[in-house]
Amino acid sequence: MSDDEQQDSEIVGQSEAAESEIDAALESTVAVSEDEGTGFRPLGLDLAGGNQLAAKRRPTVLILAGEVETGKTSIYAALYERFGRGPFAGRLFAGSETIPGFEKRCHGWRMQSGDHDPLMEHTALADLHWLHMRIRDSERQRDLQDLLFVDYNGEIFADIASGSSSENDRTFLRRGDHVGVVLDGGKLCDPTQRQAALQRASYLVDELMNPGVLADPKALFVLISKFDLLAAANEEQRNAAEQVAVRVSELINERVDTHDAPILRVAARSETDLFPLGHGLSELLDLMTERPALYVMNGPPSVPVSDAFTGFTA
Amino acid sequence: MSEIQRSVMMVGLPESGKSTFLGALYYLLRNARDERLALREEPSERQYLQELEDKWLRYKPFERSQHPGAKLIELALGGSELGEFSLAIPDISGETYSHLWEDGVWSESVGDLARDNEGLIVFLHPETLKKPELIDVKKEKKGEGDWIPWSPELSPTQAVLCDLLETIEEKRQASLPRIAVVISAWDAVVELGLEPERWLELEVPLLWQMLHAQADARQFKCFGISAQGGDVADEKTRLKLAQDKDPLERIINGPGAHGLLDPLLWLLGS
Repeated sequence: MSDDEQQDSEIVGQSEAAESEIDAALESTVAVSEDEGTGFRPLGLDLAGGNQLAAKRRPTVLILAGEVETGKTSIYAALYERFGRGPFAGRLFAGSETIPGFEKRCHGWRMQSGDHDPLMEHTALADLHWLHMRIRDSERQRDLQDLLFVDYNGEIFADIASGSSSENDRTFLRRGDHVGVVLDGGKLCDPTQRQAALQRASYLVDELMNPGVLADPKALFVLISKFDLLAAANEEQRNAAEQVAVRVSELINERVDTHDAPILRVAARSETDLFPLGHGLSELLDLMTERPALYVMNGPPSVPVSDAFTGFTA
Repeated sequence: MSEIQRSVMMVGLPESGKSTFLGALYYLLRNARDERLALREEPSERQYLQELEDKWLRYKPFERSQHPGAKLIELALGGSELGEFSLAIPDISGETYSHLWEDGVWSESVGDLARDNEGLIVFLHPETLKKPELIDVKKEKKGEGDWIPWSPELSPTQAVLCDLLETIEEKRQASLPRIAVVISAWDAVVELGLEPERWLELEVPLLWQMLHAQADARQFKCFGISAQGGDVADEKTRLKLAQDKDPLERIINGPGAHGLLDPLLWLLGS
C-alpha cells in the first residue's frame, strides 16, 4: 500500500468510525420533553428524533463550540430568521422538522416579545439541542441538503475546555462535519477580556485536537461572533481582536497537515444598523454546502475488484 | 360498480377563507354553472353546506368555524374534465390546525384525511397574515419590563403552515400530494398587480421557498380567489356587491384562474 493509499485508508477509517458513533453521540443527548413545547412537534430533536432523521437522510452536522453567551444560538436563529425573509445566499429553505424550536429561539428578536432591545434567551442544559433545516440551491440543480445544528449550552464546552467532561459527554463532537470554535467579538475587542478569551479558546482547541475527540480535526474552523461589536471598535482594538482569531486558527493549523482553518465573521443580529440580519452566514452556508460532510471530503474508499467478480464477469 | 372515491384536504388557520370558499363552491356546483364540474345529486348530509351557502348568498362575513375537528362533506360530482366521482372535502376548522401546531394533537378523522387525501388546498388570507416582524434596533426602547414569553400562537403564519405541511407529510409517511395554494380575499391585493405565486413569494416567503424548493418532486400552484368579491363586513361594499344579478359575478379571480373550480380541477386532474 502506498503512503497515499494508507493515508486515504486511515481517513476513511476515521469517517467510518464517526458514522458508527452516531448512535452513541445521539444517546449522549438528554431527551427532555418541555412542558411549554408542542408535544408532537418538539422544540428540538431528542434522541429518537435525531436517530430517525439520521436514518432517513445523511445530514451535515454543524457544531458551534464556545462559551456561555458567545452567540451560538443567535447564529442558528439568524439563519432561520433570514430565510423567513426570502431566499438567502443563493439557497432556498426547503423545510425543517424543528420549526417550533427555531420559532422559540427567534422570539426575543421579534415585536411579539414586547418593547425591548432584541435579546436571545440562554440555552438551558435541559433544552433539546438538535435543530434541523433542509435547504436547496436556488437553481434547484443540486439535491436537497439536510443540516443538523447542535445547540448546546456553553457550559458543556467550558467543561470540555477544562478537561472535566467525561468521554461520554464529548461523543457528540465526533458527529460534527464542521466544528466552529466561537470567539465572542465583543470580548475580543475588550482589552481586559481579550487574552483570557484567547487562553480559553486555546484550551478548547487543545482538547478538541486530542485523538478521537473529533472525527477529523479538519472539521475545525474559527468563527468570530458579534462581529458588529468588533467592527464598531477602533482600529487598534480591531487589529488586536483579529490577531486573536488568527492565532486560534494557527493553533489548529500547526497540528493538522495541509489544513487552513478558515475564519468566519458573523453578526447574527447586529445591535446597530451597520450589518444586515445574518451578516456572514452566507460564508457559513458555503462552508457547509461546498464541503457538506467529512465522508464526502475524504472520498469513498477504493474498492479492488475481487477475484470472484472478475471470474463472474469473465 | 362502486363509485370512484376521491378526497382533498383543506388546510388553513382560522379566518383564512375555507368556509367561504366552500359556501360559494356549493352554490356553483349545485347550480351546474360550469360544465367542467357540477353536483350530480344532493348530498345526503347537506344542512351544513346549506348554512354556508346561505351566508355566502346573504353577503355575510364568515366567523371562525366553531365545530371541533372536521365536518365531513361528500359530494357526488361529474363533469367534462374528470368524469363522475364522489369527492370528500371535509371542512376542518382553523382552530383544529391551530391546536395541531400548538399541541400536536391529531383527531382521528383529521389524521386519516392527512394520510389518505390526494391533494391539499392551503388557504391564506392576506389580511389575517401574521408576519415575523423584527424589533427595530435603531428605535429607542421604552424599557425592559414588558417581556412577553414565547408561546406557539405568537408564531407567524408562514411558520405554522410550513410546520403543518411537515406534519402532514410525516403522517402520510410519504411525500405530499399536489398542493393548491388559495390566496383568499384576492380583492384585497388585486391592486398590487401581482401573479398569485409572486405574491406568495413576497408575502409568505418561507412557505413559498419550501414549496418551490421541492416543486420538481411535488407540484404546487397558486390561485388568487375572492369568493366574497370584497370586504362584506363593510356595509357599503355589501350593498354594492348585492347589485349584481348573479351572485357568482362578484367572485374575483387572480391572473390565470377562471373560477372557484380551478384549484379542485388542477388537484384532481391528471
